[in-house]
Amino acid sequence: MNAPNRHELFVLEDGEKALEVTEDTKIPNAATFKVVKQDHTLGNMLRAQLLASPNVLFAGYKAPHPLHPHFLLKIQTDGTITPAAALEAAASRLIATLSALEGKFRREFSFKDGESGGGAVTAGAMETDPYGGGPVGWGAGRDYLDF
Amino acid sequence: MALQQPPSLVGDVLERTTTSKPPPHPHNSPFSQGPSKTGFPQAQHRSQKKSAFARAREAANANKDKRVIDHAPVVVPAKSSVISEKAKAQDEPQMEDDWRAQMSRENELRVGAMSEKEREEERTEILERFGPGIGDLLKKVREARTSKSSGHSLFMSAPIPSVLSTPSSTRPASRASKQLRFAEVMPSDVHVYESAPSSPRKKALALPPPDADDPDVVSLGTLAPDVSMELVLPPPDAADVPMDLEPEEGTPEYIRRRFFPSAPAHNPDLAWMEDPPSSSAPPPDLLRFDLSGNPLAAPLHSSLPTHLGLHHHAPDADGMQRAGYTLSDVFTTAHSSVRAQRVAGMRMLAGVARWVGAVARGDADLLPGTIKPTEIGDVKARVLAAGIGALAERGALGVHAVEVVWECVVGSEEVSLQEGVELGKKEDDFPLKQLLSQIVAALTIQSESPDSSTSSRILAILDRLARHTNEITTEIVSAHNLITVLFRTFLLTDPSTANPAALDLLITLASSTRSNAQLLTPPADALLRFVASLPPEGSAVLLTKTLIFYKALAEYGLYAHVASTAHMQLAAVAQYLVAQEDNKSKDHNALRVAWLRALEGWIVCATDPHATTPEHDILWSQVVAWGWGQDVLAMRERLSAEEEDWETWAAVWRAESAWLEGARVNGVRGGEAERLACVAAVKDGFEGGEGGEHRVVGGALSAFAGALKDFGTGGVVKIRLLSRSVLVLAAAMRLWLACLPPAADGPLSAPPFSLPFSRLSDLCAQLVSAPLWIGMRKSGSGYVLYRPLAHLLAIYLRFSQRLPDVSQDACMAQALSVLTRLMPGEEECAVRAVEELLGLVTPEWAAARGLTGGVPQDLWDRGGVGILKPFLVHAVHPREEGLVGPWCATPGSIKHVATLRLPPAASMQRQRDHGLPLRRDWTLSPLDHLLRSGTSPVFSNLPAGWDASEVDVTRAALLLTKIGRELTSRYSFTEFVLSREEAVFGCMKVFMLEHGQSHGDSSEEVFRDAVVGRLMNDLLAPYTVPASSSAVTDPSSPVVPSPPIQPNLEDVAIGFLGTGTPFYQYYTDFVALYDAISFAHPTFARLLLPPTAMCYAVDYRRHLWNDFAHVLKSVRTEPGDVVAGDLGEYLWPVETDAQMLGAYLRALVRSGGDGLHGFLRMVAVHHVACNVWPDLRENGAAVGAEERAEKLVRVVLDQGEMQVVRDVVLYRQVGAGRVRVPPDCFELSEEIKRERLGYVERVGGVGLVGRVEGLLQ
Repeated sequence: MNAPNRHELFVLEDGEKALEVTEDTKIPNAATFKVVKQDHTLGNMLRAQLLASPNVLFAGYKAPHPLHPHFLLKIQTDGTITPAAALEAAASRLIATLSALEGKFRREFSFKDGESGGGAVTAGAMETDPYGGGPVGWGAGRDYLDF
Repeated sequence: MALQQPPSLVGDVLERTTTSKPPPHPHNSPFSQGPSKTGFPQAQHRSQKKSAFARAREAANANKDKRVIDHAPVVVPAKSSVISEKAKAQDEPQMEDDWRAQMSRENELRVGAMSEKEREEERTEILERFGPGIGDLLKKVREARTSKSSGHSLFMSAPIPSVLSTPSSTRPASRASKQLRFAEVMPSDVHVYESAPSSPRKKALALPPPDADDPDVVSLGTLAPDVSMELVLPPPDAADVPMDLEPEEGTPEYIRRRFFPSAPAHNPDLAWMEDPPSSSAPPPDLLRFDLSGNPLAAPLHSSLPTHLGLHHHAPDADGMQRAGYTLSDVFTTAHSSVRAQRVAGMRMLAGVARWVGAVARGDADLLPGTIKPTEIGDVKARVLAAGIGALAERGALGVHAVEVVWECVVGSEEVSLQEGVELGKKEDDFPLKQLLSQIVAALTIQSESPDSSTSSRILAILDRLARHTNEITTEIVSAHNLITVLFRTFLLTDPSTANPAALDLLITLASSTRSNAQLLTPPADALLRFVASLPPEGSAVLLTKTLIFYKALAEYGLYAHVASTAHMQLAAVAQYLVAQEDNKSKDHNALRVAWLRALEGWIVCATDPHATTPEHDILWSQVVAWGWGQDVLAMRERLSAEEEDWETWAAVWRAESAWLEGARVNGVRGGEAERLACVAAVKDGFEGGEGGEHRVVGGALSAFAGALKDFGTGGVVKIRLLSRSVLVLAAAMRLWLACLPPAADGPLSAPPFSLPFSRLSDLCAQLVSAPLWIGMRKSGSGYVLYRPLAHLLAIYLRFSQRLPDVSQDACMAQALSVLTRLMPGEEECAVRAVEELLGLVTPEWAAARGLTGGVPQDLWDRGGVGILKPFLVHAVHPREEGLVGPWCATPGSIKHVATLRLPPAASMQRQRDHGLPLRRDWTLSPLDHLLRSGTSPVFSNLPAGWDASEVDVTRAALLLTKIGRELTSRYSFTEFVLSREEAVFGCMKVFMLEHGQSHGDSSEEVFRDAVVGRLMNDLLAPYTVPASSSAVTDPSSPVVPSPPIQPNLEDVAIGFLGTGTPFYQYYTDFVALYDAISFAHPTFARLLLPPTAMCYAVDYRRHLWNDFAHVLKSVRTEPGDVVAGDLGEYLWPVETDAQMLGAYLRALVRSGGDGLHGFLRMVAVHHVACNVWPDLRENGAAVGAEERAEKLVRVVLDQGEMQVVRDVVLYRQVGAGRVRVPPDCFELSEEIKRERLGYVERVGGVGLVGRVEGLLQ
């Protein structure tokens, strides 16, 4: 079969750069980023994060072939920052969001451990809003989809 | 009480033994050797065993006297066939019945004697004792009982018919314990042995099944299950008939009650006295036919007298013998081994076939309850199969069989069949092979004992089949012996009996495919006998048709040598025609035309000796030597200008044109001498007021103008009328063109002879945009009738190029419009027109017309639009093979023509095999090939030296499209102007060139090319909203008039995607491509919108607004840039889809109103506002609308940014007229403000009012 080895999907080859930037020659403030050994998981997150930024005019990505483990991310900004900086900022925010998520997850998981391990659960733990704390990117509780 | 007995077979049931031991067993059962101790049958060695026949004989002798008695009581309804007797009859418990009947009778009597009051008392007592449910219970019990006893309650005075009840029930009580059992014979158990000896004494009723592996057993199929075997229940309410309803005096029941009250009702022994059951138990077959196969009306079934011969068949399942024969009766009879009977059956089948045909056409109605309309096809297939089976029989049977097949295949309907087109496929399971082999046999019989009506029917069958598809004609031609027998039977007989219809068939076969025509050439020699015998015996039809047949062959370049081998005879024909100049009969006219057409065909063959098959079959020197050119000119002397001679005139001109065209190639100095001679001969005729040609052309022009004006809704007759004059005009123009000196000699100083040029131009311009072409698509195979019209336009295109006063632009516009009218067969002309068109588009030409706007010089340097030629030629004829012969054969066509017939209308709709007529957006077709460059046949056959890039091709295609649109709209050929959807789809294709490409840099992308981008904008500009709306006010603006029929994108896309790929899939790819690489390209963004207009399915909107909501942010199209006829297309009707409203709301609310720009924002605000405010709502009454409005208003006011709230609250739109765009749409009158404030107050209370108060006051 022509399926590549599993590890080729995430292990960089010798001398391969994880990220390549190509400034676009034709369009101002635009660049194409080739991200190697990654797929839609990262591409989609980055795209969404970039689009949330007011400086970014356009962000889109494509994974040219499902068997080729890379994607092309295209970013155009309004000129106040470079596309590379926008990507960096987006990546940092994404990391922050993900670590916040991880922290919350761990906290909940430890509650679960305590629950099953100790057998008795303190009332205080139950009352703590597990989803509360920290601003959430998309207004929790503002539910306009339910009609 | 049911005494079990071993199953026995019907024929051997014996009853009436008074002993207690079981009745004698049937002797042919292998297990009935008598009682055994073990309960199993005793084994007996076969050497001691008597044969079954011997035993049966003994038993018959022994029981002889017993049987005599036995036979008497068995009374069964009239249909006492073997099968029906086997009906499984279970013995009813007689005793139980009897006492029950007696009790009931007593009870009823008692109840009858009671007064009303006593009955009421009894009823309440019962109710008290058993509770209120007792009534239902009793009713159920009673129902169960009555249904069990099959309605043998004594209280029934009306005789209840039942097949079962009569023979088996109500046996005398003394014999109640006797069990009569029948073998459970299923239809599959009935076997007929091929060699079963028929004994006069004993009839083999049913035999045990044969061994499964017996090779000699032939299955004749399974018998249809007999309806009479099913248990038939009487209607339940029959039991409720009051007992005291006195039967009519004189009926058996009356006699029984009156004189034999103790006798049981329905004694089977007296069944013969009873009336035949009137309300038939199984539904009788209502579909019955009389002896000539006409269906009988239902009331006649029971009323017709028996002497009409319609009762000679087995009675129905219900025992009733009705007049007429059911379908299965007819089929059975038609397979009878008695010949006379079979003939009668076949005759009926012919009638049935006629009726089936009438039903299929809708001329006759199906009797309700007979057969379903869907079964008609099956019936027809069976009828046809029966007919085919008997086709090869001699005598009356064969005659009727031919009639049956004729009815099935041809039918007596009057259809106007068009020549020169395939009708389309026959049914898939049509038994063509069997039919053809049977026809050969039938023809052989005909050749021995001819029968004119039968032979003409056989010919008609073949002719009809041949018209269907070219595959069928190939079958016919290659059928073993068929053509030979055909010739022997119809053509090689005494000339007085030769059948011209056979020649018609040959012409059809020859015109089907080249290979068929080739197979027909060897026997074609035999037809010379009709040419040789002059003057023609009888009528000239045979000679005429022979010449037409030769002409058909000549159009393939075949069999041209006949002109030299038979030139003496042909010369004699010419002399004969000249001698018969005064003969004005129709036949003679037809002969003259056929002769001229054949000459034309051979002259065309002689023009290029390498085009014929075999080569050098006929030589130009021969043609010159025979003096055909002079012959033809001599013919014109004797023609009148009357309308009946028009066709001959046209034929003369065509033959003369072919002669001059040939002379141009082969003659001395380009045939100048011939040309001058011809002009000298005809000039006076065309120019003089009294000249024949002049009057003919004038008459044809008037007739053409009149027919065009009166065309109305069209129809076959009107098109034929139009074609008559059209062909005359086309021939005249062709002659004019042939008389011109070569174009290389420079512009004309004077025309060779004058024609009414301006009238011709006017009428052709009218014709090309006449509404009659719309009817072409709907006319089915009648579209072939438009061929002469297309031919006229093709000739006119060449004609107008040589006219001095027609500008180049007008010529190009004409070419652009005519190209979309040409039909298959005119490829040569179309390719020439395309080449000329491409040649005319030069930088100088474009610069002179201001069309160069932004076209850089290097586009012209790299070949200009000329690089498109391979693509456009491919668009004209996509396939090399399968070429349809042109209306007028040319030396170039005869070698390559594969068929002379147009493809069936259905395949024309798909437009895969034939490029013509070209689609309106054919100039964009090079993009199709770029998109499919891997599989495109053009790319694999590009000419050497062609090295244009993708960008070049795209630029050229867009430029040509733009030029085409400008030209056609300038000359107001509105129908040929590119429509909005076609332009949109064409531009989409430009973007889709990047689909699946992995460019790292945008500079490699075709759509980023500045020229391509500008051309796309130019192309779309006339379709954007400001242009569209200014059209109303300013007629001088360069707006494009929209074609009368607005296709939608989905229809337009079929031309490229085919029917297998939906446009939606294309659109999803398009959106994904935008998402991935667009960098918010403005034109790209504009093209996302058209499929989201409200006239398209909601899926497109869902895809863009819901699934790809993140791309909305980058779409910055302003209302003024939207590609639409009117912005209202996106606004009305207001969206009601909940998911879409959610998407609009989310897009508005999510990113603080920053996520939407321009027109998209307006669309979202519009749909939300129109679902909120009562003054905008269209669907105020719809269920849930109010509730939804309240939710929406809460969400908007709660979560929306100030700007969003402001827009939604202040939004106002008018349903009719011009759409208001921002900021006009955000102005509210005071009154509406008050209303809206009141609404918010009502819905959300004071809390929400606070947010909007400022806005609404």
